[in-house]
Amino acid sequence: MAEMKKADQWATRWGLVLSCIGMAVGTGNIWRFPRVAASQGGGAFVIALLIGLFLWGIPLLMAEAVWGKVSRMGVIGSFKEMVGRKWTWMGTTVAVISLGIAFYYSVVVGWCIRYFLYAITGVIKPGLDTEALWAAFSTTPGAMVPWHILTMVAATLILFKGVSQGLEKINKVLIPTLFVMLVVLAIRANMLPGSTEGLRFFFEPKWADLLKGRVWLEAFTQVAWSTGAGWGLMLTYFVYTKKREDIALNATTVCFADTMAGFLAGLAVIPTIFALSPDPMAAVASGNTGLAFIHLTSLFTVMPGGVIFASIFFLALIFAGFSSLLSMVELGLRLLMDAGWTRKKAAVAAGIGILVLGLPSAWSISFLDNQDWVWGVGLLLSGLIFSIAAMKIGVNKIWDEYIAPDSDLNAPWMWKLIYLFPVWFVIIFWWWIAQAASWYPDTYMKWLPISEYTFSVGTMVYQWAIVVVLALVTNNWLADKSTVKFEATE
Amino acid sequence: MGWQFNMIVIMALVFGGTGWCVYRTMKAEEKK
Repeated sequence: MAEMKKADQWATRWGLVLSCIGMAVGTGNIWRFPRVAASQGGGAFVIALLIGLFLWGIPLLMAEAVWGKVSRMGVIGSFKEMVGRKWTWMGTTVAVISLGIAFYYSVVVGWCIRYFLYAITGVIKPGLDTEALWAAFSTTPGAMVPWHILTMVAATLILFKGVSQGLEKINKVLIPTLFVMLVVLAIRANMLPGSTEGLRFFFEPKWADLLKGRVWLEAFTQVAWSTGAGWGLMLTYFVYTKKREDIALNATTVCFADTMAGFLAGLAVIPTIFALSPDPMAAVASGNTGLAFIHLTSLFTVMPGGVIFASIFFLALIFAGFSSLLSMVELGLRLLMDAGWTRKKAAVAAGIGILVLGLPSAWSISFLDNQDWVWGVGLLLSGLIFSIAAMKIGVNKIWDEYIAPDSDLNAPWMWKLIYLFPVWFVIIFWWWIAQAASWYPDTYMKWLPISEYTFSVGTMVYQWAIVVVLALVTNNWLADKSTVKFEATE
Repeated sequence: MGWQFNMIVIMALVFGGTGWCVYRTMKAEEKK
């Protein structure tokens, strides 16, 4: 019999919804969505992505919300409660994959803080060699460490204050401000001479692209990485909901708001590139960090009012990234609280733990790239775990007993699409594995040294295998440790 | 069908979808 413990919960539904949007909207919305959308058929990509929300994002977020709200425990304990004690390892696997991302995500937020400071202190000015600036920052061992530490200290202090006084209050400021900043950036970008070419490129009807498999694969991948579906983060936030909190409408709202954030970023980034860049396609093809820290930063130096534009752009990245990071640290913190730790002790321990385990990524960008690859693709596995667990419990049962009674959106079909999830998983997962294999034709199963086999198949398979074996070995121990439930008061 | 029309359709889907969710949430909260 689990021991019951009382703690603070979301004070308002909007506080919960904004925090969940903050969880979903991350740096990827700003530097990945515009890049991928522009290179994958623009409008056709957005249509594929909207379909992906229904087939991938919304059902998984609903599953997560059910897990958190019904079990009132973090990722590990919730699998024990929902699926059964011997399936606790499933929760451990999901938790480790998400924490694997948390370890380096703080470093990524730290980059954005550094570049925001570059912007407001006048470093980003005409004549700046942005490639050299990024190379010096990202390849100098230790240069990223102070910003990683600063980010984790800030996150720990906020989570120290709890759900309603910490998470809810900060997200009620960060998320509306983030959307206002994205709107301002989009308006300013579209006032630049030549920006219409960017809009034309973004929205040129290329409906034939909907027949291309690549567009769908990229759209579904974007949904998986951007909405946070299957990461266990929405689950963690739903531990603290009111007893009769809605699931279906909230999950749908989070998915659409997440897409809107990416779309607004696209309206800001693509027209800017086309208005100012001598080679827009090179910028689009330059990868996430290349786009933000080299190409766009370079454009800010020649743009009228570029300092203000750059400051707002990097501040938006900080807000998007930091609000996501908070949910990742809270995921770890909740696991400790499930084991009986007080919030304050758990916040300090989770903060220090993520800070220390993030140091290798802060030290070496090739290690960070490797972790991004391994756990980024690993998230697809997390989604599969949720879908299989939902089918084991009973998809109809979950709708009838846990979702429908408090739902403000009576659409069971949206939930039942989770039946199809394994199909999408196999296609998307196989595509990524095949791509990775093609990058290392004869050595795709090698993984050491990491700096040489950063994106190999082997580096993923071996690191996932270590996690699953550890999760299986610790199954009973973690099941015994996870006993303290959150008690909702209203 | 030009890119401007395309832009309007996509914007209507993305902003309209989000707006509809927000509206439904507000209505649901009013009832409580």
